[in-house]
Amino acid sequence: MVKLINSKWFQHPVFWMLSIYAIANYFSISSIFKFIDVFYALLFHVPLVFLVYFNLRFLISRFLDHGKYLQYFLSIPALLLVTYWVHELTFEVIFPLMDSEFYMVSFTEWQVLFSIFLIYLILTTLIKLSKSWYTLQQVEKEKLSLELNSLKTQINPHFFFNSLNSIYSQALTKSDRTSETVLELSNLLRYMLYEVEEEMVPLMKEVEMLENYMELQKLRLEEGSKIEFKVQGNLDGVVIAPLLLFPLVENAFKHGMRGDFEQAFINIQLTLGSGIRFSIMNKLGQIDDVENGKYGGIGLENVKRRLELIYPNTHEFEILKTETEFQVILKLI
Amino acid sequence: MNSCVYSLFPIYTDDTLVYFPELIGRWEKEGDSNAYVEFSAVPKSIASLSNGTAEKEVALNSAEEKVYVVEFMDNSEALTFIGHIAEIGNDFFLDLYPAEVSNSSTIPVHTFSKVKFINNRLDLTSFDLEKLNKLFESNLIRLRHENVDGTILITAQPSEIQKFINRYSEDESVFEDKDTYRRAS
Repeated sequence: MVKLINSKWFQHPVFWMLSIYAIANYFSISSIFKFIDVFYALLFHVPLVFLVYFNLRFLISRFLDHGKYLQYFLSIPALLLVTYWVHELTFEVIFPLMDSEFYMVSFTEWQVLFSIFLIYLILTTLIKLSKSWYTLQQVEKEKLSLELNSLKTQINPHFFFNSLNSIYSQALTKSDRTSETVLELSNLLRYMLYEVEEEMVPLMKEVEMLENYMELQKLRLEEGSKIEFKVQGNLDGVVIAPLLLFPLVENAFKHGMRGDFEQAFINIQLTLGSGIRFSIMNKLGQIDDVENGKYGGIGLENVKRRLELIYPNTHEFEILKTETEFQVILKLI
Repeated sequence: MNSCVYSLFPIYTDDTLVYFPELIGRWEKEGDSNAYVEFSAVPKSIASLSNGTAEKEVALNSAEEKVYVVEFMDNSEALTFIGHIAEIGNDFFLDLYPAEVSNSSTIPVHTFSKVKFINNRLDLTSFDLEKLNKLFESNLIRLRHENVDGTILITAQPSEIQKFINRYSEDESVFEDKDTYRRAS
C-alpha cells in the first residue's frame, strides 16, 4: 500500500484529479456543478499539463538539478508564454475542430491565466524539490546506517582475536578457568551480536559487558593487576549507543598492560550526572608509538566517527597524552 | 422583438462601438409595408439613458456617442430603443435598450441582433431564442446566465458576450432567418 502511495502512477493521477476538480470549481459559471464545467476544466488542463511536465522533465533536470539557476529562471517567462500559446491553441483551434455539442469559449484574461500558470509552476516545482530532498535524506540515512554497521563490525574481529589469544594461552597451560573464559567470551559475543542491532542500549548492560570483558582480560594478567573500574551515579534509565565505550577499554588493555606489569595500570571512572562522563587512563607501554600519533589506531578512530554520527554537537572527546600515561575522557551531554 | 435574447449587460464596449450615419432614416420591412425600423439621432429631449451599469448624461452629438434612437413598428405597435452598434469580429451587432422603462420595478435589459446593410438594404438577424433556451437548459452553453421564469437572461460581462458571439457568429443554427428591410426615407 505504501509502495502504491509512493508511486508516481498513483500520485500524478491524484494530483491531476484534484486539479481538475479545483479548476472546474474555480471557473464554474454557476453554483451547480455541471459536466460542461468539467469539460472546460479538462481543456484548461492541456496547457497546464504541458507546463508542469515540461518544467519537471526538462527545465528542472537540465538546469535546476545542475545548479544552472540563472538559465532556469530566464527560461520561466518563455515557458509561460508558450503555455499561454498552448492555451489559445486549445480553445481557439483544437476545441472548434472537435465538433463538440458544447458552446463555450475561454473568457479568462491573460493576467489571470499567467497567475494560474505561475501558481502551478511554483507548486509543482516545490513538490518536486521537496520529494528530491526527502529522497536525498533517505539515501543519507541509509548511507549512515551502513556506515555505522560497518564501524561496529570493525570492532568485533579486533576483540575476537585478542580474546582467542587469551583462551589459547589458557589452553596451553591447561588452566581450569578455560571453560569459564569460553563462557564469558560467549556472553560477550551474544551481546555484540544482538545488542548492537539496537540504536541505543541501557548503560547498565554496557557496563555489565565491560565488567565481563575486564574479567576475561584479567585471566591473562597476573594476580594483583592494577585494574580499577568505578561507577558513580545511578545507571537506571540511562541509555548509550552500543559498544561505544568498548573500544576505549579494549585499547587500554591492549596498550596499558604491556611490558612491565608492575608499573602498568588501568583506571576507569564512569560518572553519571547531567550527562555521562567516561574517563579511562592507562600506562603507556614502551613500544607504543605516541609520537607518531599511531596510538589507539582504528579503535579510537571508530569511536570518534561514531560520536560524530550518533552524538553530533552533544559530545566531548578528549585525548590526553604524556610520556608515560594515556587518558581518554568522553562526555555525552 | 419577441424572439430576442436578453442580456443584463450590453454587447458593446467603448472600443467596439461604431457609428454609421447612413443608417439614419426609415427602413420598411420587405413584404409588410406597415412594419418598419427607423434610426434617428438622439434628440435633446431624451435626458438620460443607461449603459447597463450607471446612468449617464446623453451627449448632444449622436455621432460622437455612437448612439441611435431606434423605433420598431410592428402590427401598429411602436417600440423605442436606444441603439448601439458594436463591431465584433467581421460582423456588426445592434444592441437595443428600452428608451423608456414602464415602471421602476421592471429591470430593463439589452437585446441584440446581427446587422448587415448594403446600399438600401438592411438585414437584421436575431438569435434563435428557442434553440438557445434549449441549449442553456441542457447545460450545453458555457455563458453566465439566469433562468427568470422560463426566460434565459444572460448575465455575462460585455467582453465575455463579445468573445462568445465572435466564436459563434457564423453558426447558422443559433440564428433565426433574417428580416430584410428597404430604405423608405
